Amino acid sequence: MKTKIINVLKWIGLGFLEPVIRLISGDDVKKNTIEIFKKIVFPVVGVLIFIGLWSGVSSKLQSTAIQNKYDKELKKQGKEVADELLVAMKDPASAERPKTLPAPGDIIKAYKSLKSEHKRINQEKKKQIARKIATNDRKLKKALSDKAQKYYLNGEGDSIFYVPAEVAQEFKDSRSDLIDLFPEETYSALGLIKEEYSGPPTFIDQIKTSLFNVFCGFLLALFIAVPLGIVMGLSDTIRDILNPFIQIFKPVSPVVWYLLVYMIVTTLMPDGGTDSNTTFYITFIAVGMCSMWATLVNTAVGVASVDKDILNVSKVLKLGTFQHVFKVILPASIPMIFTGLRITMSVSWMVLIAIELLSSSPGLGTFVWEEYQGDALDSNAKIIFAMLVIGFIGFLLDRIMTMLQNLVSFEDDTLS
Amino acid sequence: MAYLELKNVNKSYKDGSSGMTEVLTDVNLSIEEGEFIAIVGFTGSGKTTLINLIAGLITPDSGEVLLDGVNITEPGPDRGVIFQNYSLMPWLSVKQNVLLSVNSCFPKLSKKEKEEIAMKFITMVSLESAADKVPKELSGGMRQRVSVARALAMDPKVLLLDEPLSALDALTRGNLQIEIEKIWREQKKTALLITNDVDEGILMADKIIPLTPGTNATLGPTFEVNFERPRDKMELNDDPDFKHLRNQINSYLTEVGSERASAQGENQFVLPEIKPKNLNERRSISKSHESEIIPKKSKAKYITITKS
Repeated sequence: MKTKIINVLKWIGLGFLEPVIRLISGDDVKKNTIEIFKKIVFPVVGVLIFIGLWSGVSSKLQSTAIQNKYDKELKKQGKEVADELLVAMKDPASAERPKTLPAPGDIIKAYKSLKSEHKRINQEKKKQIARKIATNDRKLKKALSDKAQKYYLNGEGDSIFYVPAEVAQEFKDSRSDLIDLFPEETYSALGLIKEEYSGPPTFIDQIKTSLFNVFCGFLLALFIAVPLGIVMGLSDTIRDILNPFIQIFKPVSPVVWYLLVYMIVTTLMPDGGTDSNTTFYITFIAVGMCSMWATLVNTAVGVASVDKDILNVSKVLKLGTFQHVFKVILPASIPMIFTGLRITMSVSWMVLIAIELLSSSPGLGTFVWEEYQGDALDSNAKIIFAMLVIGFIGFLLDRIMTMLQNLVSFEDDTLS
Repeated sequence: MAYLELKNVNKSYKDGSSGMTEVLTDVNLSIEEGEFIAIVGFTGSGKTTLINLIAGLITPDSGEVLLDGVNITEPGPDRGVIFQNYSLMPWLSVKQNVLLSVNSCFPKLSKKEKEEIAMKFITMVSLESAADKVPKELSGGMRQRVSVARALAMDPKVLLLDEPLSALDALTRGNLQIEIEKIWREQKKTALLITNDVDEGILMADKIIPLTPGTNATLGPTFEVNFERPRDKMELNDDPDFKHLRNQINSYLTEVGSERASAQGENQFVLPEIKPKNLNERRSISKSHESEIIPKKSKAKYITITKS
């Protein structure tokens, strides 16, 4: 039982709790207390020291900024105005307070403010959607009752949308999924509005969007890099052909990838890139292009270095190409491929923020950029808060990839 | 005509600096159907090259390798190979490993029949309780049993054993020798065992053929092993015929080994005379502590060591 809990903890990356479990279950007290100090107390002390240093630096920066602003004002407007400004600047709630590195306390305030904003926007969402539904209902009911329980609608051209009487009746009784069945033309012809929220997203929404973007980019990288890597690993010729490209493109900055993808995608989009989906496509494709290299190289190396004995077995068994690749080569190189995918995942998350910021596609990157551009008092604190969240999510993603990696690894257990 | 035949086989490998190294020169071998042949030789004498040639993993530079009169050009399931380091698929269970070879050799059978074949051979090597374990959960001996089961499941005409037991500890080794020999008797396959252990060869094989040390290795004279089967290791150890045969083979190997060494030229290293200094000399408390490695009044200036 105890070993089981410890193994599970280690597996999900909470191995540092091991001595606590051992202490609770009555193992060697002295040894485990020392372990707790090593693994828990000291790291916590480290964090506290860091927060202390941060506080100190931030208050020093704050006073420097105030002093500078005061001196400037003193030269420009004289002592009286400058003194007045000084008083205003010392009030944390004042708009005159100079923006600099926020103190740890400000981050907690920023968190609270984001939380209340989230609540407020969620309520607004519900209200807005309810309003839109009510409007749609009113319009529909009126339209349906107009034509004696049967409604024919002339759309563009000759298309006709037909609502049978019993469905119309049902709609009158209770709101069913009927509204989802209406094609686009019906919506506009009846003057209906999309029952979606339109307005600023909450911080949580931004996180969700970012995660979705990174997931799409990661999948793209996976679907390009793994097959290509296998081909490269199997054929020396193809490896030699592709190698120069890899060497050249691998170190290219995400910003340049973004521009390249932008050029191509906006040209390919039918409406010249004004569609709201365009930024999403650009973002995830650019993320995929930046992050696929680790998987590509690792897969190629993994495939090329499959144990020679295993290859001999495959030859003796006379496996066909398909069987050879899918039953021998691929499983044998799975651990290497997953190592590559793990790197790809962390690179995706890292470049995503920069690319979102550039493409102004919704997400954490855009959140950071908008806060930077905005002149809210707590915008710097929100940026630092977003930074911590980004770091934490990156850590979680890496943990998940490590877990998957350990799951598929058939080598002797190696926890990294 | 013999069942498995090697005629004037030569094989060279590209050597990094000095061009080609001829590993096997003019190898002739003929094995009758159902025979168990052991080839013994030093490490690096080209034993694995020989088995790879028969397995079809490499092709000879000149000469022919014939199985049942047909020239061998590529690997195939008619020659089951048992590799030295097991070569199991580490991601597959014991049963799946064996099934892999059943699938590729009998693709037309139903799933149930395939599983039956796999289980038959797993039972034959007494691993039925470990059928669902993966290789890393098994000991070396168990892994090699899986390898044996996998090779047998292909229903090969010839069983090629490439030093199958040399990575195992002595006890497991002894047990597996007996087991493999027993399976061979039951299955009546032609078998070729490569080994560096003369006792192992005598215990298992009908004939022992030494391979002279490489480069330019070739096969030596055939030694018949006529002990009755099943052979008991303990009894054999006391058998004067066994001792005689073993000595014959060993002295042949030693002879070709030293010939090889002297043929390769002056492999003699001259070491300087080294004499530990006696720190007590001045005080001359105890002269008996002086080094006895080299006699005090030795006239020899150098010790000569011959590399064998």
